[in-house]
Amino acid sequence: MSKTKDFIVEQIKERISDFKPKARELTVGHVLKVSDGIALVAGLASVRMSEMLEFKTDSGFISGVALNLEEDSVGAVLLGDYQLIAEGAEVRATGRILEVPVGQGLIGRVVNPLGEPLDGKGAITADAHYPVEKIAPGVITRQSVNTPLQTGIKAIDAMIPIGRGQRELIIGDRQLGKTAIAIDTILNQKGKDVICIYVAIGQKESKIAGILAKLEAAGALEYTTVVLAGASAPAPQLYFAPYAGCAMGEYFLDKGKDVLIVYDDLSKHAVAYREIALLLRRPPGREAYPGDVFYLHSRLLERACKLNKDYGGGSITALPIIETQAGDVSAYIPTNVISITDGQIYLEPDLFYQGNRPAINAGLSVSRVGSAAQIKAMKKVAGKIRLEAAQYRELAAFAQFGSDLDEDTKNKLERGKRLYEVFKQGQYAPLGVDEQVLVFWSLLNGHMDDVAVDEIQVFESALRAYAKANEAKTLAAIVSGGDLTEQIEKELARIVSDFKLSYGK
Amino acid sequence: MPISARHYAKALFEVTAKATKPEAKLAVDRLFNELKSNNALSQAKSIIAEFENLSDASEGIVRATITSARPLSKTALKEAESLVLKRSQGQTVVWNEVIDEDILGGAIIAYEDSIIDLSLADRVSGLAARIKE
Repeated sequence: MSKTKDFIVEQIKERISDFKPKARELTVGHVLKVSDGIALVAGLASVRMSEMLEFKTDSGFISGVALNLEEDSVGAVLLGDYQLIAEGAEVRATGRILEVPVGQGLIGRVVNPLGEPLDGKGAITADAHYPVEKIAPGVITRQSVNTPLQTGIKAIDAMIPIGRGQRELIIGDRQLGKTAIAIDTILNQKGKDVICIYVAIGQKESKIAGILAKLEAAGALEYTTVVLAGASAPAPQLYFAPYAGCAMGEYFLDKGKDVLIVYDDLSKHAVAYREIALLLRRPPGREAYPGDVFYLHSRLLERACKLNKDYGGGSITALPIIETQAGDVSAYIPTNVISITDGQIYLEPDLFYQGNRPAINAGLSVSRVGSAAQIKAMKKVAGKIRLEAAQYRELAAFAQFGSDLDEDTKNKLERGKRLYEVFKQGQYAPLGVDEQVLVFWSLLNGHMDDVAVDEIQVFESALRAYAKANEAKTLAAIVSGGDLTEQIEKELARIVSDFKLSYGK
Repeated sequence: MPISARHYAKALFEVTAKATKPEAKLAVDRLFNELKSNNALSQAKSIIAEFENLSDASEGIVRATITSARPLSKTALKEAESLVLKRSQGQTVVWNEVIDEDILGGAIIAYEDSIIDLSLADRVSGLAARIKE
């Protein structure tokens, strides 16, 4: 026993051998007023903007962030339950800005904007702590976007391609499938070495539960983190959620990895910021938003980037979501975010209710990165796809005069109808780029012209299943080579012809 | 924009800086008339506190609270005073002494916006945290 006792004593001595107690000097103030998640604090004369504060309560400390530095007081937002804080309570300045835990330990977890776990799977082991607010990488550190981020959605990968490091806005009215596009993109990143982060801002917790179940069933949680600030969370948590998610992504960016972040949605984020700003008595501007609401989103989205090789070569691709009211893309927040992002995917109610889902309006949607974010094989078919789709949209108005049109116009209309049938895609069913190239190539080379319009979806599905089962080598060659060589095109022709024989066409 | 207690106190302080007693009384009467007409009589207590702060600052007085487990000797208070004067703009310290056995030993000095924690309880919890690491 004495040997064990000596060992224990030695261990303790070793641990405290270099312990040097220092007097702690704290800057303190006291609470003047607290309500609705905002506290007015007297004192704290030397506190700095966005500095973390600690509010002393009977049950411990509650964090807050100083956002208003006034002559006689400091306005702070509270990140915990403000009802525990009493008037006159001690407030300490921490000398730090808001940080979140980051690292591998966050993958597969559901956390709140402070990095605290919400999924009941135990404490999170953080590799580091990153500041929530950070200046975006400079011009010199970046390079042009040149690698595709495949969403698995045919209409997007063909006509509005997204690259790694791009910001592509998903915009539309409620219940048109904005989140569905984002989730399908996350599902399609399986095996593609992309870390995904889904930031839910002000969403219904029931909706998030459904999304989590889907991600788990598809095995997507192996590479995804969910940052949740639900509809019942206080406004400060909604405000910090996207920045916290971005900080978690920047950890992987610094390691040279590719990250995809979905912000769902920034409209609710702007509303939460408006709530905080009005409670802090900041002067309201247009639509009662504070004057810096543009900066709110620009500094967030500028942190999405593609870094050059000297800085690790990693990327953060951002998919912000904005909800419009009655299709009004010219409203304040939508126009702000449209001007910040590198393109938008516009979802239209008319298309949705006609059965075209995803309801992407190809005319109003754009990707400013364009074909730089496509493999050569897709580039070859996509250019013609875009042209066919544009021509069809122009001619569609004349469809009612079917008998008065020339042959060429009729052919274009028929081709366009089949194209829009091909664009229809079920939810949670992303396609690989090889299958997409096969389908588009078949369509453009007239192999679907003899298939009835209402049978196109079944035909296409069967063609893909046939190719996957019997011609996996050719499909793999499209992905590995990235190009549609003459040899591959001959193979595709043979595959389609063999399939049609077996399909009975 | 509503006038704060600090502004009222500052105005009163500046007006009465070199005033005689009758002049000071007149200034106070005028202040109260102003408070009455602005419906700000409830700020009177805050104005007194702010006025005292301004007065202390002009005289170089720092009001500090020292919390200790046992009453402190004059030497210990002198040391604490030099610590406070080194960190503040003051020339003398007026102490409010508080006894709290929970701090075990040492002292906690609170002055202006700062707290210097020299308590034994803080060092013990620091040591415990280091052992846990």
